[in-house]
Amino acid sequence: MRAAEEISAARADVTGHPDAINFEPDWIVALHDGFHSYLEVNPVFAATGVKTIGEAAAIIGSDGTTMLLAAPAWDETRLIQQAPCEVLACNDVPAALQSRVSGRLAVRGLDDVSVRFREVLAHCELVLIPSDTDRPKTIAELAAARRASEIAEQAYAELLAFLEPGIAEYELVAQLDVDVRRRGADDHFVLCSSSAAGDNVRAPTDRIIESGDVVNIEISPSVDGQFVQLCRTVVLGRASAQRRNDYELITAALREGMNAARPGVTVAEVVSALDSPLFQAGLGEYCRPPHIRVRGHGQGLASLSPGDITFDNQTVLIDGMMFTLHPNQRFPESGYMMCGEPIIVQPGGAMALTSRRPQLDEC
Amino acid sequence: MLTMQPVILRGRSQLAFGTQEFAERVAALQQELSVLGLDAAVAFGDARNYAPLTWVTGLVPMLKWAVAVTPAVGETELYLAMPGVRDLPRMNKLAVAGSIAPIGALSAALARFDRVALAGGHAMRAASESMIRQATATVDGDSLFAKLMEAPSEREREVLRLAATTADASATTTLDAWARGEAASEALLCGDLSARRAGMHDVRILFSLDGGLTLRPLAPGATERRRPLVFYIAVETGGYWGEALRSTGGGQVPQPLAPMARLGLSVDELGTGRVTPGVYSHRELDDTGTPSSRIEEVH
Repeated sequence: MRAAEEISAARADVTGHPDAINFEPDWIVALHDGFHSYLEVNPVFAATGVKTIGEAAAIIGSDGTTMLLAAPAWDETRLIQQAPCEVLACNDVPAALQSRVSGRLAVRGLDDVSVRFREVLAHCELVLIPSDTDRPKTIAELAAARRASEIAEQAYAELLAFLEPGIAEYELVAQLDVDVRRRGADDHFVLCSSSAAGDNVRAPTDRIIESGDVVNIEISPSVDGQFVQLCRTVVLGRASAQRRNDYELITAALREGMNAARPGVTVAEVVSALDSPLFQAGLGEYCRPPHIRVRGHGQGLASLSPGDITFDNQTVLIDGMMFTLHPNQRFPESGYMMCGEPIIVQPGGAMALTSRRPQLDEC
Repeated sequence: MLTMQPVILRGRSQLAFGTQEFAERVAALQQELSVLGLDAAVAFGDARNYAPLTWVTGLVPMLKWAVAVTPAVGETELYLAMPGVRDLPRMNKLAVAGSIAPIGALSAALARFDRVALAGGHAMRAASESMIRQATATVDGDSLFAKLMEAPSEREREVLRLAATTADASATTTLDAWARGEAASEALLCGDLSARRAGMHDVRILFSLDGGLTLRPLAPGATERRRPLVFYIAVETGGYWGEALRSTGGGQVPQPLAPMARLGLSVDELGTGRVTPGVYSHRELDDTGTPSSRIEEVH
């Protein structure tokens, strides 16, 4: 369970937004539908440090008093144990919310929950505040991220030991996923692919992995609701010289991006630095959609700051921001390969949370 | 049974049914639309509530939500709320539809129609609801789909049997691990792994360490071995669930699971009722006809 003071610091995302402050609300309300997303903020988790099973609302009064309303009612014991605030576990969160708030409300997450919430708040004056702010990770979030990175590295090392021809993709992911959770992760975002040529990652299928295959994998465990991500490529057998050369390009790209990721630099500048070895190699076309989606992203659940790592993101980096940087790349001959690390922005350049730099592994 | 939603469904992904069955379902749906004088059917589904969407496309959304639009004449169109378009081409391995497009194209697609039957709308978020209702007039489609989903096919009954027997086997794996001396989390993870290795698309676990008085989702660090361990495993394949409820020795049925424990339905009995994607089934009656959903003891 996160310490109350850590939750207060993270909760400043909710209470400290200028739109919320300027509106002088009677209540600040954070809403969530119970669907935890790797790429979306959970404002209730940000306000309370609690992952709920069903719909939830966190209400913060003008005096700072906080209450968590969450479904289902039978989850009460766990919620009371984990929440640093008063808890009402119920089966109808909108109804419970309606009777507890009035007047001026600053609300996060209203579009992402059922329309009933809008209906029950019709008697209030609302201002909608964005679900995220640009901020560094808290001390507790960084500690959780370090632990999650350890888990990811240990699980990846274990994966190299049991990855062999004849195993189905879904069996590989099953073993990895349980291993990640066995080591202490509370959730896990995982995608993989196996092919002769190198494919984008996706949901695991019943394809049987073969000798010579290129296996791409994203390992993204969560500890205390804080995610990290490792991106790796493994060749079952010997990698060709072309493939090794191409992989060196993306490890070089990662180094350039990390070196550029300093306080005061924009995300776009980091991407420019990351892309430079690839552009110099004549692969500029492959550094943009549809060949890639992004060059990395923030890691939730409480905040996804600084957002997607793209060539047009003008967010200025702050000391202590944490995100995944991944120059995952498609090559004309080697196909798609992956290389990604969780990094922390620091004055001398970003530091990776892992202990072993990515390399093209063979097994 | 409501359980903790993972950020992504991590199990084996495959097409739930083939093009022949898809064509038959779409034809049946379009026949109903013609009788009712409606322009199209719109089926909404998210990763927790997906019956009509899955019935018409086979898709169980891994992330966020999706909408299937079946015109009274023409092909079914599937619209996906996904982080980017890069992943769209491979979605045809997970869903059957005439076309697959990002969710941003949905409003324009619906604007072609004057009146549509909307199913699964109770699960919509405000953003998706406004997207759909602003584009076209909607009438209730849940009863239309309920009628179509009423009689399970033999394929669906086989899927239910597979889910039910896999849940049963996974529960047995958990009990075996407990009997070996494993702690609660580890024993439950053993059951989880066995279900995933058996090809299940999703696995959910709830357990109790106070004899069934309270339930909690599987989380790291439950190192206790206080008897009894009461637990619930649900597994999903092709959109259909099987469940198992067990104890390592005594205890009570957790109150939220009481309805399940009272039912001892066989898959054959389920065939007389409505079987839909997302509905939980129970394992088969054994040869003596004894209901299976009871607390069992393991020594």
